[in-house]
Amino acid sequence: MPRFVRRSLLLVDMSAMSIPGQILSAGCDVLILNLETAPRQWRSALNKSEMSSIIATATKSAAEVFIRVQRDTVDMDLEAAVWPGLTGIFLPEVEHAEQIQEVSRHLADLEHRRDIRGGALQIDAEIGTAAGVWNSLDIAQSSPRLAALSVGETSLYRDLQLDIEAHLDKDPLRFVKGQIMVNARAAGIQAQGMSYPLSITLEEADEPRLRQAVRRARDMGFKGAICPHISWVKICNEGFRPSDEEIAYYRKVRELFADGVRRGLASVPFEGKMIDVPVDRRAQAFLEWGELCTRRDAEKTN
Amino acid sequence: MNSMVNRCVLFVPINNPRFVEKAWTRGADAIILDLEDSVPMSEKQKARGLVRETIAKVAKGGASVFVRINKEFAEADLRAAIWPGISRVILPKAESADEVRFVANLLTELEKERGIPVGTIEIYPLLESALGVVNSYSIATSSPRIKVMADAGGGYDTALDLEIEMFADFDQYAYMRELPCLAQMTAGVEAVGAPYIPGTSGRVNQADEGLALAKSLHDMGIHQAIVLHPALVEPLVTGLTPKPKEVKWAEKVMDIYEALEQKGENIAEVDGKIVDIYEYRRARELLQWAEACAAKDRYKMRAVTEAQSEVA
Repeated sequence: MPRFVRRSLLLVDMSAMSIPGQILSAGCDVLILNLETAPRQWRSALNKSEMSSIIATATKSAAEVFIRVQRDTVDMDLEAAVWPGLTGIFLPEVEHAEQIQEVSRHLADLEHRRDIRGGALQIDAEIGTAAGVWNSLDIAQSSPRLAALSVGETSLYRDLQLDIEAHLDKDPLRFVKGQIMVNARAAGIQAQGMSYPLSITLEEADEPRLRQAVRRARDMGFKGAICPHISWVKICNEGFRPSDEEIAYYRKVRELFADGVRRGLASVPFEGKMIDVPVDRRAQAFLEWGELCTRRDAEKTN
Repeated sequence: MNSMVNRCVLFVPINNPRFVEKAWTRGADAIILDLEDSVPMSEKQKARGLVRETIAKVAKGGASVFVRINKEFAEADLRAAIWPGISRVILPKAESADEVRFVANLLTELEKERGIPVGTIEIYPLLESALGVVNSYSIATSSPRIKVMADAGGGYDTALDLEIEMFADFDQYAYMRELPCLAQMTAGVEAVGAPYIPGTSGRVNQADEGLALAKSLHDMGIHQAIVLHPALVEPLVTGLTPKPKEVKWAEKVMDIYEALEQKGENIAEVDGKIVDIYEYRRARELLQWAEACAAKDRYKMRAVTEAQSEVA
């Protein structure tokens, strides 16, 4: 079971003190306030009351709030942006475990100085370079603060010098994504990523294509995706959780298996497929995940 | 050589007398007596008690006999299951070299105690989780008892570990299959995998899907598969045995290459294909494999004939 319901992580460019209302009402699980695209001077001038007010506005939408910092100015960005209310930090282009440990030490210091519970701030590490992929297991195991590895498709494309041509069926990052996902899972954290090529082309994809891409990401083991556009949120929220039909199917699986166990069987057939311990446990996990997602969605409407 | 040929390995739930009685008639090269997921928790103890008497029963048709243990009850299962006639222990959900070494040490102790030459029994780890994939190389090199191991492509437990649906319309498991495969080959261990086959239904008894599986395995140079349903035995045994046409071509390649060497040459084009040292080695391997399959088939046939005459 993923620890966090983070199906849709909506990226919001920060360069003003306000967040547009349509973003606040988008219903995303996570808002990532992107400091990376904001001018350096604006970032360095942010003060406590300004930043606290932005965080307060963002959290009112019931989203968890992350700050995406710039790689070259991490310390400055952390000093400017880390205040109570924040869930964590989104760190781009992570290449080594040491980077995480360094940020973690800085966060511990900020928690101490700014009245935030020790160890509360999380880190999402975005893997966007070959070195990051190579070291992704080390990175995934680097700190208890680490909540997820995210696939940075756009930066991976630049770093690996791939041509940006969109073919849904030929994902050149297939192996890389598998590696990031497996390493995250092996370390007990979750992976976030979107299927090629929609996060590369940033087009306003039509809904069926987007749904298919989300389904593929989910079928590879990703539990959510970074949304560059507001129109992705609903589709990610729905696509990364089991549908009503799937929930009905998993309930049936559990019923049949429980009945089989009562009759002394360890596996029972269902529509030609075999239901045994791992299938039943998977159905249970999906049902629990569906339940968590439903609860998370209810928090947003309250 | 006989024990090397395991084209089709069939699971048999040891606690089900009906399946056990019929197992030897199924034509599988090897039978796995399953103590793990085929046996409900309430029957584990009873199932352990059945292993010793079941070995000879399922081996009657000439099949090798393996046992799949529960990782969490490894010691109790091994103490109950290691008897002459068992040639391999299937270690499911393998995640670390230490787990393998634990099993290996216990096997040594039991082999000594029960009159089995030390080192005889193989360990066959199944990688079924992300952690298993990550540790595939250290697992593959953890014991000389490992001759073959399976990657994590497509099993039910892998899907559970990753919390994903199975049988999607694309290759979900590319990394989980390819990384362990490289690790195994680097370690000199035979790699067994489950290739992605478009359109797989997930139904376990489809003979036509068995044929498609055999073809994919054959094309990837994999010589064996583990199956859940007897309907898949025949397609796999047939599909993984070299065809007469392949054997004929291999013999031709051998002749041509040997003649080339006599002339001090090392490459020729025959029927539009290159014959060189690599093709020669491939041909030699194919002929060895074909010979081993034929020997296994003769052995099985003799065993079946004997068993039938006993019944009559």
